[in-house]
Amino acid sequence: MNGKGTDRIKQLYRDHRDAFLKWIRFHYRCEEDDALDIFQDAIIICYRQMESGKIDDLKVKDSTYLYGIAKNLIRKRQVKQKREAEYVNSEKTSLQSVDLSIYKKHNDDHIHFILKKAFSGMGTKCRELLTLIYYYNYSTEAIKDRMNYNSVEVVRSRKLKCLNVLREVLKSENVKNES
Amino acid sequence: MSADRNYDAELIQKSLFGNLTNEERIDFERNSVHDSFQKEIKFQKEMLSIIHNEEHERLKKVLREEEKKIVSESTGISKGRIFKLISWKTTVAAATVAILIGAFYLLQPKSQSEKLYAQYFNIYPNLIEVTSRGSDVTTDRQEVFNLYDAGDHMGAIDLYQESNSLKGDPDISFYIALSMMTTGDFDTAKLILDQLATNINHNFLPQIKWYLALIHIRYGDQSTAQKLLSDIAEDPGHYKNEEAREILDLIDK
Repeated sequence: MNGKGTDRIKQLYRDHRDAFLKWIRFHYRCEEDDALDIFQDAIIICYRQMESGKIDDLKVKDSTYLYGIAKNLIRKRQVKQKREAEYVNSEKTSLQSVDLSIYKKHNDDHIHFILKKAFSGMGTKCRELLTLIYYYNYSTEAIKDRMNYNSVEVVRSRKLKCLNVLREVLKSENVKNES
Repeated sequence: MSADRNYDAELIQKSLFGNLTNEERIDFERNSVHDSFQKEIKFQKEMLSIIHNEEHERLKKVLREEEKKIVSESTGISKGRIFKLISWKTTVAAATVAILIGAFYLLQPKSQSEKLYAQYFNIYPNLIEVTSRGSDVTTDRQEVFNLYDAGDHMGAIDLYQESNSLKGDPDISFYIALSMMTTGDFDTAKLILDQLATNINHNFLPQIKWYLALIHIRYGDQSTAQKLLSDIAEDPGHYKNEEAREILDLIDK
């Protein structure tokens, strides 16, 4: 996802930036860094929805849509901050309540780490292919066109190969842990 | 996993994006009893999360760089300040026009699908957990319903996302999907409801069908909405039978 895609998100960013920052400062009295952070996240969500075909360019031009996304992001942040503050002050942080899931969490984190490392180490083509599938929800046909493959069968076979590399990494890690 | 591993992987991938057809949903349900299928679900969910984070971070980096460029462009030369002083009247005039245009768009009626959705969407009452505000909350389950009943849907969603004990509960997942609809996160709500709909024994199956129909209405996806609504309209025992008929009439007009 580079070149044309990157140009598109940059343009989207420039088109909405000034008006959005005025709006968010006026309504939410945000700090500069927070305002930019929320704006960037909102633009990324919009861009992803455009790429997935869920919304069209017209909808993005209407800034109320973007502001709707931002409002949700702001609410999520506020709730998260409130919950974090409550958590720190609460007696619920007793060891008894947290240590039950610690082993499972550690194991999940380990699997996550192993797969993340394996994904980062993959070739560009595999990474692009899997990103188009899992982030942008592209159809096989759309991937064929985007990545210039000869047929959808080739796309399917490439996808299987890429996923199998990751499955193998996970499998060998499981074997290591069991032995 | 079934004999066709590719097919299973496709099924799971489609379910993650809520794209399963009815036939595929049945296959998904049938296969989900197998350990290997469950492992594949876990693997794909993990990949979804990793790729989501990686791509989000990559795009964020692109935008941070773009922001730096914009700042350096605007602060690089004092010509910008001179231009600002000369053209302040033009700026005021342009801002006024922009406000008028903005107001025009804001005052425009909502799209037909949004209006229809707003007209028929009501939050489903909590029939699961008796809650009382102010009492000592002992479990996440009780707390999530306290938040739901209090209308703090963002709070309910956050608690759901943080608490492992809540995630496997199909009833709670149903209510959380409704909280997501309330906060405008239709994509995730649809993802959850689509998955729940694969469980033919779910306590809230009729409700799930109704809310999925509403999400498709909200998306403007008329054909899927009509299909779901027709099923409801043809089921005389369905609690939203009349409403489904009403909407179908409205869509047909």
